[in-house]
Amino acid sequence: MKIQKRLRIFSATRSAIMPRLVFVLLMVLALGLLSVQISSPSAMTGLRIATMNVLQPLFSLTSMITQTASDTVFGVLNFASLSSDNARLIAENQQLKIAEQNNMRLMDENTQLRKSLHVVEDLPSNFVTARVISDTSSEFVRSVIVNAGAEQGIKRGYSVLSDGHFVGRVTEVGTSSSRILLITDFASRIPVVVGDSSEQGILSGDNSDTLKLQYITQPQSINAGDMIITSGKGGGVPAGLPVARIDRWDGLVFRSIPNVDLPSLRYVQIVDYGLMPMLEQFDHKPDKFGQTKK
Amino acid sequence: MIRFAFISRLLRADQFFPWLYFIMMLLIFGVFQVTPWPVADLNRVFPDLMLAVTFIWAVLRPELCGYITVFIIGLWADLLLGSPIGMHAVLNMCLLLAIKYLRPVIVVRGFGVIWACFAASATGYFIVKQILLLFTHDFYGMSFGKSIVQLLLTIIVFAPIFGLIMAGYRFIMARTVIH
Repeated sequence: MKIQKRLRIFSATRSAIMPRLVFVLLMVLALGLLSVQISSPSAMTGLRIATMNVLQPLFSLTSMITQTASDTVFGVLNFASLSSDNARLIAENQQLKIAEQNNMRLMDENTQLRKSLHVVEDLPSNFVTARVISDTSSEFVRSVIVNAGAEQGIKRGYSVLSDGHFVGRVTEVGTSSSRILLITDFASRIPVVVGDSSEQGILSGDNSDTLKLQYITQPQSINAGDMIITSGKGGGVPAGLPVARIDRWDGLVFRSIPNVDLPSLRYVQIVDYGLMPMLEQFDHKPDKFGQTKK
Repeated sequence: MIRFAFISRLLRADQFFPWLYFIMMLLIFGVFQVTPWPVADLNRVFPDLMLAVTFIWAVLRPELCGYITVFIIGLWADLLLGSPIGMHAVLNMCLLLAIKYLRPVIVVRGFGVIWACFAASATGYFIVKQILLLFTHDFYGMSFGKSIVQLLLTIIVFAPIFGLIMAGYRFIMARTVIH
């Protein structure tokens, strides 16, 4: 009787303590994982890539459905303005023809000048156009997933453009999908130069819709509306790509607005500027003795 | 001795099919949550559908939704949403703890109380999320306005999602043979 009573008490105590113990253990584990992830953001990249590979068909399907639905709705809504759109496009076409002639003349002139100055030509670039199939942007991260991966020749570190403007870099590459870290992400740092002043700095994201321009030596030479372009320093991103425009001075740093409306990204160009050998040079992994190979 | 009580319980038809149903719901709503929407900025304030599904699951079938389950759901959410691994696991554990305390109130009342309890839990969930963000990210990047809009949208869409999930759940339970 006494043993049975003791067993009952033990069983009751265990069933009362066990859930709490599991809660504490799992909470410690979750916080541990979180701190590992914060100290080393690339720690679980393999797991993320595997998830991305598995879900890629599902992402493609849902994004195609929403895109088709929105195209249909907007098509119906814009039907009434077809004739005015047509008139506008005819006028725009006339202007573009004039601009094209000017551009051809300038290209000729540019080629002649380059020849006479013996300018070293830029590395040729290859690009792949990919569709955004998942927008995982939130308070934690600013990234999108596109439907092009290793099968399409994409590699980690490639630059990502939209309408000629720099919008991010490839950070994870799956079989047929890749994750792109947008310029507004907390982890994004791009060496830039401010248009008119030629002032150099670092453009960094903080998960908000604007960017911070940091490490400027002469802030007085920068004005609102100045264009920010990539400087090409560090070798990760080529020089001369437009990124953002100066918006305001917030008392600590210059805030700037990206040239591209990032929440509306639908298609992007993933460009190989031939910078991979330079990137790989800095991408050393420690060997089993903790030494980095050079 | 290692006991596989959860697995043996799960293998019963009346346990397995609801479990599978909620897993499928989490997968579908999770993918739906990260779908790029043609309306600008909608993705930034899109309702947290996975939170709503997890809440309904934990209230409806607590025996199938313990701490280990919500921990795994959190890891899945982190992999899907690109957030730091462990972030949603912590949030889900806090959510389940809150549900365990709210459950005696929830089970005896109607939908209005369930909705109110969800609103309270979701508010707590978003507050903990902002606190975690303070530790992991830059203060300037925190957009409280968008978070509040997302919270409100999550609370609003809870009602249709609850109706949808309950309809599917009743459909499955009606066709499940219990031995």
